[in-house]
Formats: sequence, structure tokens, C-alpha cells
Amino acid sequence: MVVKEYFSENSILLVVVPKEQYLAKTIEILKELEMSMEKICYVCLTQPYSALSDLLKKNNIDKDKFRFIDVLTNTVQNTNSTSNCTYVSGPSALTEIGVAFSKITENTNGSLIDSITSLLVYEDENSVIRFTHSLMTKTRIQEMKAVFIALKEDTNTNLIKDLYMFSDKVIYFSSIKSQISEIMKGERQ
Amino acid sequence: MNKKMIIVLPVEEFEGEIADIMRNFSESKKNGIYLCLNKPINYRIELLNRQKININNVFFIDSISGMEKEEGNTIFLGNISSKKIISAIAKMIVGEPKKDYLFIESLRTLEIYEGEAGLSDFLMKLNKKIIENKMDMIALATNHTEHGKILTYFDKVINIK
Repeated sequence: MVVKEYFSENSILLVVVPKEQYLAKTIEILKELEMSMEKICYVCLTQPYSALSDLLKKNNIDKDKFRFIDVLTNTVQNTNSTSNCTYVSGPSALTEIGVAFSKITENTNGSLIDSITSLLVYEDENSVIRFTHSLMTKTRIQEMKAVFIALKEDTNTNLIKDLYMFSDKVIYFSSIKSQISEIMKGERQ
Repeated sequence: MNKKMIIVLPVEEFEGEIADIMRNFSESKKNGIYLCLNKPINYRIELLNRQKININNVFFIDSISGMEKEEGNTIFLGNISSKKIISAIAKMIVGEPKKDYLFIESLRTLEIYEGEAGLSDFLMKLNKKIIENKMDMIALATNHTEHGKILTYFDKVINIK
């Protein structure tokens, strides 16, 4: 269980995962959201809708439960939005992403934003913090639930600490290397 | 003697500290202004209610819910803007009852939106109003960022590690 148990008392979860566990944890979260919600808005900032679609299929996750916001495809090929996927012009178009998010979440119970730290490649830290703060506020006003994924390797920036103030719960996953080191330390004691 | 206090603490401690401060004000039956910068007012009220903190004497300024209106004890500002916040505080101060304190949820959030110079300018203008109206001011600040310049606007700095 990654996020489901926290939703009874919290609306906004920030999940910080190490790169090596990113894919596995994201799939776990997707499965939990698929099982617990009717419609979910999936803002994917790391891969295009076509790749995501294959990933969901491969993991037996019902794609029809999701409404997607694709920020990457239009940077290489103009694609018109469909009923289940909204294509925005690019990852730097934060206002456009925010508008699409507001529109889609009118008809969803929750959302997954994956991963917020990948925006740091395109935008400065304060812009990413302000953008994330606005998505979190929209989520609260619409009385929805949301999971924001962030990569642990980016935690040396202020981003994670600042987002902590706006979230209800931050869930940290440690890397396998540090898990092993903790176990070894415990055995030595 | 009125106090202007800044509490510098880890983000993990924010919610607990907010509850402690508001419980204190509530128990001393003081009237005051709460500046919401991190979470919208409805959610903040829900959190304070969960902690069983009486908020009957609290006047709120909500700068993040995205609407601009006045409703009950709350002024909604539409967005985070130090100019709008100063005007809203001024408006609340002149209204009845007399306000004893101003509580600022997070100076870091204001810095994210207004920059370091904007935050400094905000505190300078605010200081004047706080002194003129003999109010106390308590502000929370994160310990993962520098606060050197703005500390001069406060009489007391408390560091929580």
C-alpha cells in the first residue's frame, strides 16, 4: 500500500521516491487509484500518452478510468486533443496545463501529477512551486484527492521542502541501498 | 509593549506550531487577523476545528482561493499580492472589534511569490501599521532558507530545530 491508507484523513499527498523505485511505485499508485476512484486525472510530465497507454495495458490497469494531460507529444508532433487525452503545447506551458487540469478535474474524483520535479528541467524552481501550489489549491477547493510524485534525487532543492507546507502528508521512500545500510546497522547493534 | 516575533522552524513542524499559536490566542480570548498563505481558508478552518480551537475571534485574509470578495469574517484577495494583503490588513484593523494580533502563516510563501525585496518591502510597510495600532505580530518562517535581512523587522527571533 502506497497512498490509499492516507486518503481518509488527507487530501494532498506528496510522494518522494528514489529514481530506482520510481516506475514500480508509480504503477502501485496507479493501481491503488484505479481501485479506489471512478475517474482520475493523470498529468504525466515524464512520458507521452502513447507510451503511458502501453504501460497501463501491460500492467492490467483500466485506461478508461483516467483522463490524461500529455505535455510532451505536441513538442514533436501536432496532435489534437481527444475525449480522454488533452494535449498541451509543452511542459513550459504551465498556465495551459493549469487550465486543462481545472477543466478535467471538474469530472474526476482525484488526480495524479507525475512527476512534479521533472518540471525543474524546463522552469525555475519558484515557478514550479507556484504552479504546484495552484494545482494543490484547486484540488482542495474542488474537494478532491491528489497525489504529487517527486523524485528523491531532486530533494537537495528547496522544492520538496516548500511543497511540504502546502501538502497534507509527505511519504518518503528510501533507496534500496539505504534500506540495506539500515538493516546492516540494526544487525550490528 | 507590543511584540513582533518571528518563529523559524522546519516545515515538518509548521502545522503543530500553527495549532499551538492559535490555541493560545483563542484561550486568551484575543481578537486577531490570520493571514492564510499556504492552504485555503475552508481547509484551514477544518484543520483548526479538528484541533478543537475556537476561531470565533479570528478574522481571516485568504489570498489563495482564487476569488475576490468579502464574506463574514473573511477577505478573499484572489491571489498572493503583498499590496493587496497590506490593504486588506488596513481595512480589517480599522473595523470593530479592535484587533490584538496579526498571525502570518508563512513568510517563505510570500517570498516565493513576491521575491526577497518584495517581502522586505511588505514587512516594512506592515511594521508601521502594527506599531501604530499597538498590535502583536507573529510570523512563521522556514529554516531551509535564509532570513538575514527580514529579521530586523522583528523584536524577537525564536529558532526551533
